[in-house]
Amino acid sequence: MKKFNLLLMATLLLATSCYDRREINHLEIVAGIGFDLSNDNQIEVSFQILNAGALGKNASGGLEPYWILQSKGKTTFDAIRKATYTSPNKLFFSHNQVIIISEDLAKQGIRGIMDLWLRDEEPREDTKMTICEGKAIDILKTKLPHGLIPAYEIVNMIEASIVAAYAPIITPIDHRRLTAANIPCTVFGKIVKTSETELEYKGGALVKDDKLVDYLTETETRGYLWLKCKIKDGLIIAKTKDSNIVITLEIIRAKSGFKPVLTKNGQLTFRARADITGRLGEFEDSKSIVDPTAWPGFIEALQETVKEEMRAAIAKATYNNLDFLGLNDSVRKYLPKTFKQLASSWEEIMPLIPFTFEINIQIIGVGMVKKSF
Amino acid sequence: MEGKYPVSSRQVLALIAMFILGTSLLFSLGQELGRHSWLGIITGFIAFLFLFWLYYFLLKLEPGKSLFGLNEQAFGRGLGTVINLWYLIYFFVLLSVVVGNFVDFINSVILIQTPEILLTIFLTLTAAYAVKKGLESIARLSEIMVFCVFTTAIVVTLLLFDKIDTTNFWPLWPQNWALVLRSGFSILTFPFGETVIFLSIFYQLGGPQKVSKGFFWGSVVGVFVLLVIALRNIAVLGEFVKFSTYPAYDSVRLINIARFITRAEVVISLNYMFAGYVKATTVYYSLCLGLKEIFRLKTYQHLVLPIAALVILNAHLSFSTNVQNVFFAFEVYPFFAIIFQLILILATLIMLLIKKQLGRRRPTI
Amino acid sequence: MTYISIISIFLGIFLIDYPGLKKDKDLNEKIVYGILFSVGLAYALLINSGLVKNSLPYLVLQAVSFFRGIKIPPAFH
Repeated sequence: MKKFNLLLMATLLLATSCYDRREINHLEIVAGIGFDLSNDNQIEVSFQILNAGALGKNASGGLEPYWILQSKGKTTFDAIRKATYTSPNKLFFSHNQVIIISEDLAKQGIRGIMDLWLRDEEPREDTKMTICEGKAIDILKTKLPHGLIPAYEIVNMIEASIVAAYAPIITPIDHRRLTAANIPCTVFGKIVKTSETELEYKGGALVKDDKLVDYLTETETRGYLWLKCKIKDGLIIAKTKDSNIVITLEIIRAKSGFKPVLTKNGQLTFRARADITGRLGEFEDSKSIVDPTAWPGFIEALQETVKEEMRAAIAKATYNNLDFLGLNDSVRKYLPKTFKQLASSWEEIMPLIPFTFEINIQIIGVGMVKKSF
Repeated sequence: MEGKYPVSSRQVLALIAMFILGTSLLFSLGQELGRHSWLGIITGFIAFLFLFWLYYFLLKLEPGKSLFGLNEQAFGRGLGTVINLWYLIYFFVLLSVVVGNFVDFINSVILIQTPEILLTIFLTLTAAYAVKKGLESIARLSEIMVFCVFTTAIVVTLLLFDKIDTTNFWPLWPQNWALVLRSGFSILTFPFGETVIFLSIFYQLGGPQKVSKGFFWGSVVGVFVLLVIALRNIAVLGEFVKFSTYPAYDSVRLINIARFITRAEVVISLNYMFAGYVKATTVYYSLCLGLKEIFRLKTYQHLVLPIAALVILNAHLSFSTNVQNVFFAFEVYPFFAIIFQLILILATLIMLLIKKQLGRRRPTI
Repeated sequence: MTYISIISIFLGIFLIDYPGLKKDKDLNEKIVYGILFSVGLAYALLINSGLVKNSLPYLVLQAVSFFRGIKIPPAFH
């Protein structure tokens, strides 16, 4: 009897919960999704789907490694489900890497997409999101010169942008986190198709509530990244005032941010601060760099560049109450009492609040040459 | 009865810790407080220390007697039985809700297309099996599992280090202290106060000294894990914890170490299921034990399956979405549970003390 | 069909428990078992026929809402 029981249990283990299994060749694995607005104001979704037959070692030649499917519907979910009209199998979203939203749709609002992405359990919340100029399907159709699957290459590009630090990286959960904290605007990264085989990821797109309202220039995006402590790597390029020498600093470590403080006379100010440690990357001057008297000038020039970038972002944020920096939220966090007093008249006061800057730059290396030619 | 089951003090600790973690791992406690949910948990725990002292006092007063026996002793056979039956109803409701919650979780994140009733049946039947095998097996299982749950909570928190943003905690002090107290009240009744169930089991586990030591440290371990999870959720998700259905699950989904260590949520949901299983089994066990004691039966073995049928039906009918569940847990359950967790216990204690005083005085007269 | 499966499930429960019950001489136990068993069976049949839609947690919800004077959200029905 005991033996029989054991056997029964062993069989049970072998036969567990396979009844709704999904084999890989009955799934269409989506690598990237693009959302567009169709001519009749419906949502148009384009999927970049892996072609399992063309991937792998013994792939039959001549097949593209991916194919593109398009469908449209009244809501996002509707559009995605209607893809099965033309797709041979059900689409599978867990491995989706990137979401691209077109300008037109973003202007109409992206709340439906955001909500679906967090409500449904199949897509991942940490998928990268960007807003594109033009049509999203064109971005997905771009034949990049490298890599097999364009969607994966786009993700690599987005992740690599941290090295240059000219664009933010945003995922649905980030967006939701920011809106939950009452920050009215989110900065999305922007992707642009520059030619048939080239994409560019830089700059930012401002999404207020759930609608695209404006774009950020490169300088403004960079200021935003400074103030949000998102620059860990990258370059600072500066020109000294008197001698017009161009210096390029390679950032090694950086810590930056801003904090609201009350001065002694009760005035609310924001104190922006950055501590940057870097190496000299490029230097065009015939003078010896080891000349210690010239250093303060270089550092001052670099500080001025960082300040300019920050000022640009602040000007944009306070103009029209876009507040993508979360100034409102930071006052609520650190000075709750002041926030209570100011809450009603915040919109008028915000542009008037002064900023002070404290930028510390430390150059810890000059690289492998001492002297420029 | 004492020493019938060789359950060690460490197993008592594990049992209590797993019981407290049970369903509370799923939901973030004090969700309505958002970034101050940790304050709610601490408030609830401090209030629980008073309850603990009460339970400890009761255990020491009459060692070797269960909650049901104590009620009968305090109120007499008739009234005592009525009160005991109320306790059984409470246990039954709790069991149905716990099973319902777990089925809801599995059905909304892991097995979406599986019919709910099937999940309910299998979850209840596995619990029924453990109950038939007795407390010892549950205790041994929880001893292993508490270690797993504890380690996973810590490891997952460490894996999320790059997503942690400590500014999410600011401002440290809430504006609305009334809500903190209110939330602390509901955290007191769920999960801490639910340990009242152990009063009906403890007499089998050994003397009050040994048991209450395990009880205390078990609840400390429980609250520690809960705090770690709550703080991690706030640090990772920020104000979004207010909106998420399963915040812990959501934050674990974000683990991504170099695109290599990802999708850890499966491990987490396994943990949840074990904790919920231990909780359901414990409640189930004490329900059977209570029936056995009230009706003076020799064994409860035969009652397990009919109760399972009732639990399945009730759990299936209870709540269909988490929204209803949250309403129940915040608005309804605390006011229902506090009767059993505090008021009736206090009444029993007072009655027992009075009876003892009278009994002591009588010989001198 | 559902009725048949409900009855057969309960029959299964009864068959599992029957040997143990027969061995036991305790009358109390048989009574308690009988009550629980028939309540379970009746409840299952009533739910299936659509006469009963409420569970015990729902009754608790109603009672507490009544005493606290709060409204039950319509989603509960």
